[in-house]
Amino acid sequence: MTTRRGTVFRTLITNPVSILALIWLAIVIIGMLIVIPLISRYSPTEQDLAATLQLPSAAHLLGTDSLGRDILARLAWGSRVTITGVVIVAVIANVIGATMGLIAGHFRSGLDATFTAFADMLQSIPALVVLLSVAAVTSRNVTVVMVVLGVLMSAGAYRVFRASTLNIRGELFITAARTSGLREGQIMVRHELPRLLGQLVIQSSIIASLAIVVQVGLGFLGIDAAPPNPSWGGMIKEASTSIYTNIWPLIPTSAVVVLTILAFSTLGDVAQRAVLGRRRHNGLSRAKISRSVAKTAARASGATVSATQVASTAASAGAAAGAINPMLVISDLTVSVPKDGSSVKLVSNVSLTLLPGEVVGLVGESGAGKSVTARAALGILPAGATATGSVVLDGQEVLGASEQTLQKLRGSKIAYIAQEPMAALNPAYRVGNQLIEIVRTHQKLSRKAARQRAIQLLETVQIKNTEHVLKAYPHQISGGMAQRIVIAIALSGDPDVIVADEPTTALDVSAQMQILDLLRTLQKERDLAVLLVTHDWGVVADLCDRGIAMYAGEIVEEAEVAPLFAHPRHPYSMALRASDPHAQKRGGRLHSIPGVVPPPGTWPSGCRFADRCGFATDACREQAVPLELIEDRHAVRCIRVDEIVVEIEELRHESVTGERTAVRAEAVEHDALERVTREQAAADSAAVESAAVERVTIERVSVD
Amino acid sequence: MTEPLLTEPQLTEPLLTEPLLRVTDLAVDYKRRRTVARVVENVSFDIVEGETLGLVGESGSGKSTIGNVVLGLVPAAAGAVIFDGEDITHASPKRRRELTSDIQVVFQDPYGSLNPARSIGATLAESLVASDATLTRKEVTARVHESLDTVGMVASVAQRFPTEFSGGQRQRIAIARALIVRPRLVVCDEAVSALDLSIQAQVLNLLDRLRRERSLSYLFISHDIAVIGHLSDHIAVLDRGRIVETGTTAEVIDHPQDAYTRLLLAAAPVPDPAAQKKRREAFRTQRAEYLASTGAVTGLVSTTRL
Ligand SMILES: Nc1ncnc2c1ncn2[C@@H]1O[C@H](COP(=O)(O)OP(=O)(O)O)[C@@H](O)[C@H]1O
Ligand code: SF4
Ligand SMILES: [Mg+2]
Repeated sequence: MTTRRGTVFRTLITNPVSILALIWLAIVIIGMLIVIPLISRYSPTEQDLAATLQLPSAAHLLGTDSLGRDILARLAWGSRVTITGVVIVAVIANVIGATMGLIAGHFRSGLDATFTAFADMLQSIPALVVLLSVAAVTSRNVTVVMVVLGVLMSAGAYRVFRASTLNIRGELFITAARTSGLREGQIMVRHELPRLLGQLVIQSSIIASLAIVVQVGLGFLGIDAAPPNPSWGGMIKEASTSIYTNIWPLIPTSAVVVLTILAFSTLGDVAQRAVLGRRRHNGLSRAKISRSVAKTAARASGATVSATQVASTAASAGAAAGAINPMLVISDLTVSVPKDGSSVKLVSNVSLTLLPGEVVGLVGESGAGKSVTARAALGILPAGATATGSVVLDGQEVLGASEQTLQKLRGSKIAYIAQEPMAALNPAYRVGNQLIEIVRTHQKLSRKAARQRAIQLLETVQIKNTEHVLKAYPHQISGGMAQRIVIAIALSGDPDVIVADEPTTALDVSAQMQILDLLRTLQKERDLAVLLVTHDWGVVADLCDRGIAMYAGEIVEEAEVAPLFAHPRHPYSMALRASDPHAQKRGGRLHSIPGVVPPPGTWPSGCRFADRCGFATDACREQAVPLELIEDRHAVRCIRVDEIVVEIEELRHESVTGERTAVRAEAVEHDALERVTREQAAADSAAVESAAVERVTIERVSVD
Repeated sequence: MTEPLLTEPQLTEPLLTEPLLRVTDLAVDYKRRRTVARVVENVSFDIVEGETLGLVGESGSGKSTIGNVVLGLVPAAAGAVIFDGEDITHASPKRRRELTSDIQVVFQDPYGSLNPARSIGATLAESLVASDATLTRKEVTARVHESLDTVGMVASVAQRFPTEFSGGQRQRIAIARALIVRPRLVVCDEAVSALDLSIQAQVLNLLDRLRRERSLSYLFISHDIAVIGHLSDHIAVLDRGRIVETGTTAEVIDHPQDAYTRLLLAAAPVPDPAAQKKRREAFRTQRAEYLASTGAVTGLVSTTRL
């Protein structure tokens, strides 16, 4: 994520259209305004009646006008009037607009009402009449006219800046600055103003293009530079008088004017889209899957059970035996995004299978790749990402499928429930209207019938006062209620598979309990297959048949829930469970996993968990660790899986006979645990210390 | 001003037990369009220096509102907030700014609470300079590094930007920002709720260590009573803006008296399929009981709350 300002500037200098616009403006400003007046052989007022209305030649690059004056020289000198005017208007409009907008947006209260009334007033004034009167009163003083235009245009800018400030003002870091003791003025200047810079670019461009239009118009009416001094508007007027004798002078003149106006409005447009686009996409967008990927995918989908399919132990065993056709088969999925010229893997070689009516939990810390995997099941990849491997949904390949196919699959075959229910609802529309719209995209129904169906859906998710809910706006309902509605939306197309990404993480524990209850009921009633993403083992324990632990982009353990909880075999699964505060005794330190998940691109080449693992040895760091079946339907990615069982047994024995380990660990804990987080540099030595700590973690769990 | 002579002998005794923060009969109103809603009513509690009070309740019960009144972000409609003997209920903006060096906050959202456009160092320094403008640049840098060190981060973190850190790391930074001014009371508003459970444990340990090292007091707000239990000396349970139960942590968690408290206790899932199944059943029973005892309609009990 970058700041909005950074995004806007970067877009302007990378987008091809805005680059052209910038180049043109550079030509106008540097070339016309500065260079040509310095080097030109001609003065803009120098007449040569022997050479009137000439076409371009070596002597006159853009030809001459009806008085034989050099058009290029006149355009260049004329740009002075225009550019000065534009600068005056833009500066005045933005300074007034931004200052008042910032103050009104920040303080609201009485000032806001006053300023807004003032802006209303400005906008209701007939601008042209005012400008013409001002021109008349000041005997055509262009500068004064432009100042007045700037003031008039500040009203529009004010609205935009006020609205942006209102948005920023609600952000948590503003409240944080206030509780840090900053004055309101400091908050405005340091925290709010910098965020308005992107808007400033947009407004300046829009105002500039409008200002040129007005300026040229006034010039056409003869209200700018006093003849014979050149101005763009004046030149167009002159050229248009001789249009029947010779059209040429009009061409370069109007071309320059039009291109300059276009350049400014293009910049404004691109900048605007950069700001909006950032809001809209917010991380994920539809995948652009490269051709080669599609091919790989097609190839992979041919084979139902590949070698890598060993990962998906439980189900693939069933599927291979020909018992049941799986609902969803992900095989050998690798998703990469481009970064700094190379490609970085977000998840690597993930394979999993979901049977009809089965609930599988995908568990791990943030950044493990759970969401990337889960969304791939719907054919959604992170922006710019490529994928290899295959995702087969009820026999149909999803990776590389057309948008049309995906659209059909989503909703009717597979549906998605996201973590943030409020984000899935549009705050501007009533819940009922949104639900009805969605119902009608799935089925051709009259509005009335769709409303009936919407009510049915709400009843399905156990909402009782449906009429009331249909009329409510999203901000009027609680988070738990919003998640019920999102679930209702997911069910509207009667899907077979539901992908739920942390569906209860944003809710408080009580709402979570009820949503889990609801999911369980619905799953049973409709025999849904559910892929449930969570960081909470409690949620897995509550709802799932099978659990898959992910770490640093790969699956590290997969088993049915009973053995996974009774005898977790991967050190990460053990540590993750042991660190759940809900499962720990009060008093004393909490067990935690030191350090953080290594981000994509920094994965160790050996076991990816090695830096945080209490059982790591040199051998663990040597080469990539394969995922292996250790028992029927239980796969683990750890080369020491058998030795660890013995070590834990020994530790348990030790701690039963004496508190030795525990005491030693307490001492280490105080220093080590917290400090391991000190960046990667410390990771190595800390891993040694944390080894001792983690052993005890595991030992305590087994004793508990 | 002759009184101190008289009262001095009497004062010494009560001073020892005077709490750092005392909230009495607090009520808070929110204006909604044309109506006024009372969202907190009759709330009273004390926090003794060096102790932690856990404030627990489901979302919308008024926990954050109470924290915000203590921080001066929301006005009180009635009642009083006494900090270290001083009534700060209606403190002036100037006094409020001074108080920020005594009362600090750590918010829930580690992504929203740091300005993405400012370096960590700038954010920390800003907080410090606002509380004490006389510090030299060198002193400020030293304090920034020191506060990063207390939360287990290296000094070079100061040059980096919030986007470069994970949720848990950002929450450490938010804690560093709160502690850099050496406050006496920290309001932790769902300070770990947005983090992974395994990271919650890390941050809870950090908060606990800092409290012991600096005899800090926390007003620890969370919807998760299990998390509250790990850090709090006392717990107050909030239901629809009113406190329904208070007591020591052991009393409230091990021997809950109120039906609502029992409901909250049953709501947090445990990572054990068999135990979780029992909890689920307990939750249903508790819910029926609570409904019967109060007839209330809340998110916990009914699916009809709007
Ligand atoms: N659009 C993206 N561009 C680059 N990296 C991304 C993008 N989306 C996700 N990632 C990264 O991929 C990794 C896995 O992310 P994710 O699947 O969201 O993990 P989880 O769901 O387990 O928390 C993370 O490090 C995340 O930062
Ligand atoms: S024991 Fe070795 S292979 Fe197994 S998880 Fe730990 S570091 Fe990885
Ligand atoms: Mg996720």
